[in-house]
Amino acid sequence: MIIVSLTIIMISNAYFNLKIDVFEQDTILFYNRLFFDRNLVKSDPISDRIYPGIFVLKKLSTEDFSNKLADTIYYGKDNEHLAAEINLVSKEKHVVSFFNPGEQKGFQEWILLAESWIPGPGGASLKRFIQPNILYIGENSRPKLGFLNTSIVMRND
Amino acid sequence: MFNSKKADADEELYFILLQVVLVGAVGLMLFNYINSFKENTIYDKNHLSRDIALVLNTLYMAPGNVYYEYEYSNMPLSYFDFYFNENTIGVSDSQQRVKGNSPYKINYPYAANKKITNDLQILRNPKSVFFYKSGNIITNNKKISLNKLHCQNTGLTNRPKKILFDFFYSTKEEEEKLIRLAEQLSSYFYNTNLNIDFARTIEKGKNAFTKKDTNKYTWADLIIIFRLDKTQEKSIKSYYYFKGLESYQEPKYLGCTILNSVLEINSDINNANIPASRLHFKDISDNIKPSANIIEISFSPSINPTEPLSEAIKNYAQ
Repeated sequence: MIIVSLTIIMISNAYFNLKIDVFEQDTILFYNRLFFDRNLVKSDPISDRIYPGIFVLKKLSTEDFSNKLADTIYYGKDNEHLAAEINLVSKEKHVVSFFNPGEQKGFQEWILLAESWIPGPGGASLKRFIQPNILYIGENSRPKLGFLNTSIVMRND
Repeated sequence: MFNSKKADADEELYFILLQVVLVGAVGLMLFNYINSFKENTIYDKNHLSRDIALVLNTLYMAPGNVYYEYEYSNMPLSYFDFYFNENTIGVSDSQQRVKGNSPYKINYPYAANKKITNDLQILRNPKSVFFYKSGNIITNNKKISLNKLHCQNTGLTNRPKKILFDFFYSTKEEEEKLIRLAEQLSSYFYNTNLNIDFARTIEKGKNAFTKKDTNKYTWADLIIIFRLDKTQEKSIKSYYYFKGLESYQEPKYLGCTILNSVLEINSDINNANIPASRLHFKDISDNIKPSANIIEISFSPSINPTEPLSEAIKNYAQ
């Protein structure tokens, strides 16, 4: 009886979660937030303003990029909600950065969950954003055009 | 102990008791869950937690200052309690809490920003749910001015203590207007413990300034010069020079606090140039070298900036 009761609760909960699915909106918001984040885009230290959408290659390639981004997009100390891979592709350099505590290893585990196509709790969903003609500031501080490829994985809990 | 018939009976009794307790606990959980289901709020709670999480994600992302009032058409928001943790929002039935039951809460995470102070409080059956985001704070329980700038405090411990005011003019009309300004400043700083002085004083009996005392420029730590702008409806321009300080951070902080103080009384756009435009500054004073740490603030001619300016300087220097 306990097992039956718990099963009813889990199935009802899963049903409601599937019906009110905000995965699309959540991922779009996260993606747009990258365009306004000081850890990625150009900012002026004197006036304190940011230049949305103009990425800085140097900022993306810093060692502690993931930790800095996790401070400004904070899903909690043990983030179990969302992970992302951010690829800035250009003729000059290809920079791959990660957003989640486990970095590349953690992201790849979540990708496996997403690729298993399990809907509902326990699975994950994947969305990719491909943005051509992204402006970025390169190594020699000159603006150039690049390609931004972002993969976002969210747990279905 | 468990080999006798009595022991068998005891053992069975313990297991039955354990089962009863477990069934009771699960039954209570199920009852609470079904109760909220029966009252048709589980869908609303799910919807509200996700929707408000998306709103918070958007607010944290939005540059500038924002006021947002959340609306929900299905049910009054006063039917629910809203719990805001550092990165999770929880929604539960306020009726359950009032009846003394432990409410079934539905949580959903949102992406906070650790550089923004989270002042989101628990809302128990609120009439409305609103959010203010201004500067580096986000709140849901008080009104904050959206006109305020975010001033990054540099933490400088030895702030300038000797402040000198000077006035630059080229016509008699400008001189008279600046004399009135000087008199107001003098009255605001009268009887404070700050070291305030004026490079020019007002001649007794005459509506004119005395000659500039250039020795006072050597004495001062912070020099503030006023002039009237010739081009734009005589707006008041002010220049702030921190002697001996090369960085722009401190002047920027002072400029920001002055602008905030002025914005409290009037939201007309004033402007600030950091560093000051050399073109505007070169004829002002031969005692000061134009450099990166001079700021220029213009005040709209529709306001009298003396009081807020004085308050800001007093708060800054003390």
